Amino acid sequence: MSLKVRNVSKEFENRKAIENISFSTERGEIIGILGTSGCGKSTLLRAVSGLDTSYSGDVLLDGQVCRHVDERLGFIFQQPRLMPWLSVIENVSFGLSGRKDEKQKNAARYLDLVGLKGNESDYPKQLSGGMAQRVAIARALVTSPEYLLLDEPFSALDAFTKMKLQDLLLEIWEAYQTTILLVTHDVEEALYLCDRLIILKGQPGTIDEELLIDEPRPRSRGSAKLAAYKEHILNRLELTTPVN
Amino acid sequence: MARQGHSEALPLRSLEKAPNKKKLTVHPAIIGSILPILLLLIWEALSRLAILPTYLLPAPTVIVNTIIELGADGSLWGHIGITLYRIFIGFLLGAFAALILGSFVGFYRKAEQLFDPIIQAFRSIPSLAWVPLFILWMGIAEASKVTLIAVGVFFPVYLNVVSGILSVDRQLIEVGKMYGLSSFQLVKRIILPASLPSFLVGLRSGLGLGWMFVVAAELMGASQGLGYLLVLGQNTYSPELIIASIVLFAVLGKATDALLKKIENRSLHWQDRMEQR
Ligand SMILES: Nc1ncnc2c1ncn2[C@@H]1O[C@H](COP(=O)(O)OP(=O)(O)O)[C@@H](O)[C@H]1O
Ligand SMILES: [Mg+2]
Repeated sequence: MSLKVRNVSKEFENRKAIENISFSTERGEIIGILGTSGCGKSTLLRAVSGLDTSYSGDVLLDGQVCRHVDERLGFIFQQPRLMPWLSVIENVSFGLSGRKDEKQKNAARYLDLVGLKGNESDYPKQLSGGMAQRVAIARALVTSPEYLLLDEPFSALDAFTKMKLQDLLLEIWEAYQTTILLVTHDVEEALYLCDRLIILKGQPGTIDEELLIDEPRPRSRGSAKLAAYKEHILNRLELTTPVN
Repeated sequence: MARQGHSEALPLRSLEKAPNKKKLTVHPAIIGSILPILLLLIWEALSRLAILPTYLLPAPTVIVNTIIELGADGSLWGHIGITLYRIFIGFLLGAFAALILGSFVGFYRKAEQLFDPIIQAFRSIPSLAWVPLFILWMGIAEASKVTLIAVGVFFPVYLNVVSGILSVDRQLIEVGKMYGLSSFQLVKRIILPASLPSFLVGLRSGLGLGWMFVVAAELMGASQGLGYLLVLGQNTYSPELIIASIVLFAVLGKATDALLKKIENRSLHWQDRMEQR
């Protein structure tokens, strides 16, 4: 039960986006991929997801090379990407197959989990950004993926909604022990959520550092230890202005 | 000091405005019908006072009477029926062909490269230029008329189907791919519903053109139909018949468009549009 990325590189029209990325995950781990904009985080995640297959290197799922989309993987995008012509419950059950009433029952369970019971028959146009992203989370969870890939899932939300959904993600993780691969450019988000951080840097993006976040959960967003980690990361990314 | 005065003035102004707004809530349909009613009254008056030459422009009441007489002797229904029949068949044929070809061109790059240039070339021919050829080929019976209408309907529907498919959000397709949908399922579950709005827009403008072409088709030789009434009115020096027929065209055109609009609103209730109030 593991996801392994081995020497993955990707080139767009003769320009390298990522180079030689290797890492592996353990079961039930939350891995953060952190880096500044444009360093290839999305590119890497798309390669892992199988949405993009024109990369070099390998992605191994449970020990086997996997170069296509797989039902063991769930993907949550930066934008909710709901089908505007489907109601909330139909959106959640989008990835399910089988009898309609069973799909609906299953979808209703996950809607309840993300706190949207009662919004089943709403349409996406009636939802706020945070609600829409909750629906997207439910849609990704309903197929019970073993691995959850998230590409800056909360970056388009306001600070309060963001914190709520981060906690929701942790609840889900606790309940299902899903292995989570979270792409983010938000250092605080990464520190609050992740067991381990892979810091990408440069263009093409390469792994600059792997960082174990040694802080038990539940974490406090303001903890001194996390602040120290943050300082360290900002230094690594050369984002702090030196104090003289 | 000046600042204070300004901030005091603000609430006063809003107080003044509030009651004014309430008075102006007249239904828009009433506002919209003021001018037409006025024009009709003036027209009627000028005709009655014999200021307008009635052998060229008869009074509105005369026109209404003409329609009532046609309805009373039963011939009106035959004319309306045959015209509706022609536009219905032509519209179905044109829209269906456009849907098939448009989907094909939208889905397959290769089909686009193959078909699009020739379709664009045909599009640049003013459709009425086909009339003599269609008559040569198919005579002046129903076939040439229906074909002409179908040609008119075809292009707007085709263009909208193609652009609708090409502009489907790639991000939504990716969601489908993430769930391992096959190409067929992607078409059925994402591409078709996503391009439905554009298709319906195409249908409505196609229908508009269809009405234009049914007039042309019936002008070129028919023994029945609203367009035939136009010709008959011209040949018998009866402007009231011509105008009656024009009015009927307008009413029917509007009615069929309203029908499509209703279907559109029903099937696109999920859209987040400015228009919806
Ligand atoms: N479809 C594409 N075609 C060409 N270049 C691309 C494409 N997608 C991404 N890139 C390039 O690859 C690099 C990494 O992009 P991306 O993975 O989106 O970065 P991030 O998600 O970290 O912001 C960028 O320099 C970007 O310009
Ligand atoms: Mg990105």
